[in-house]
Amino acid sequence: MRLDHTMSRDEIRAALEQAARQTWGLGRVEALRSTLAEAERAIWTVLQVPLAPWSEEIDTPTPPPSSRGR
Amino acid sequence: MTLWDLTATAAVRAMRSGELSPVELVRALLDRIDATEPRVQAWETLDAEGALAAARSLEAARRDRAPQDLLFGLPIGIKDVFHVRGLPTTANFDPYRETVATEDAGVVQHLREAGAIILGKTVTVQFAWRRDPVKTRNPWDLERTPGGSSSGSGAAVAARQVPAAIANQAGGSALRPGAYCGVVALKPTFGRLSRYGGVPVTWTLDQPAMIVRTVADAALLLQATARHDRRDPFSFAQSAEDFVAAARERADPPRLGVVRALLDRADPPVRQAAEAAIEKLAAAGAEVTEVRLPVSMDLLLAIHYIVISSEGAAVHAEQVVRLAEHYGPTVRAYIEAGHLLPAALYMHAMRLRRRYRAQLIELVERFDALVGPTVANLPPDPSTTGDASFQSIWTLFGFPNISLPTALSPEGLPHALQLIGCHFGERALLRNAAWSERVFGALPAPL
Repeated sequence: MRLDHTMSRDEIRAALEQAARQTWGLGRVEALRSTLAEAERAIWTVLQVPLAPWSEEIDTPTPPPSSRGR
Repeated sequence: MTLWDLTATAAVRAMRSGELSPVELVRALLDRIDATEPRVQAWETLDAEGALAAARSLEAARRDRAPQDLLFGLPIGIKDVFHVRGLPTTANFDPYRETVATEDAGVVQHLREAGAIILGKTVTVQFAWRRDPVKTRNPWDLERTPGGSSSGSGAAVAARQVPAAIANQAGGSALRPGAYCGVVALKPTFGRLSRYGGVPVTWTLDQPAMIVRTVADAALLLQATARHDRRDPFSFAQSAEDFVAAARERADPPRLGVVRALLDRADPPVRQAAEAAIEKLAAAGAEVTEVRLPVSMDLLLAIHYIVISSEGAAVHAEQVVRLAEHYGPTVRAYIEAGHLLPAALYMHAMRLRRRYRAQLIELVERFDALVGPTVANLPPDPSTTGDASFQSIWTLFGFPNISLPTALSPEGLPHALQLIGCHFGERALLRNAAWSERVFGALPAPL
């Protein structure tokens, strides 16, 4: 499934529901409805924020000690 | 002294001096559990025999030499997602109920090496994720949730069944039960405590945490557990720090950044209580400045959702297909939805996480601590374990944070504030939390 920032919320939602049908079967789509709504909101929100091409690294979970940690 | 009402610090002091026997304390807590557990239901597995045997062994050792162990004789509950040798790690999942752990989790090993006694396993929301209801009730009002996913740990400490309990947090699973149950909860910096040996929620969010009665108790447990563990690839190699001393230091009033977004989103009674608590801190000398997050809370929560859903789905990739019928409806839905998220989306979220990590660090480092309500609402009914949003935005970046009870609502339910500190700045966080704790005073026991 490809998602990008040009997609409307309805398009994202439709893509998720189609993926849910294909992955988990028609019987699971109703059970996933509210969860997919939450997913759609999160996906749309994140995709609205563009990334600087190439230059932005991914996060690494272990943070360095703060210079002010004391 | 009422033995079940002892804080961890007071109990250890009494046992190290010989004034109290570890066996006596374990028996008193088992009696307390007998009296309160039908109402609270905080325990998944109680190991009375194992705890008494450990207590007798410590007592015998004390006859030979004066105990030096940091947590000598302290009974502790362990959230049922961490392995405890000889007990099942159920994660509240039926297929796991018969499988007994053959080794201790890293954090459990460190507790035992410090002289602690493992009393048993506390109830968790299934797989410590999402909000499928649990049997545990809030000791302040048995018709309300204790929060989750560390439901049993929060309720057991609040009900004085045990002085301290281990929890964990990938969103808000330690601080929320701490707040809802009117006790102290500390989630250290990501990488401080060993994550080895248990059932994970994710790889880049999970961190063990502690639920206790006081800031001094949090410092004591952190002292024993803040250790490198090479079995945990994200475990930080750290030099010894004196957290216990930091919590005792007479600090100057702190400079606090009040997070406006948390106040704006809180339910009115919670907002009013938080503002009143912050006014008390200011009246006691704290320098209080309102701050705005550098990025919207909705965006931070969206990033958190994508990270936890993608990683959580990967944890359960095979099992959710094979054992689907044993999964709770909410956690199963989140795992299945997580599987639908493309890898490119996860990478997008992880790149934004790095970008905003730098901006949040800059904000946190401007103050001695950030402060705001720990939770958005008072404890709801037990069909849910509550809303994790106020805690998740800090967990996303691995900041240490601590929740302190501040007051009771007119309905007799606890209010709480959280302080957020710099990465690996737990000494300062504990010092400022102890200062704040002296301003608020202690809540009574709920039962």
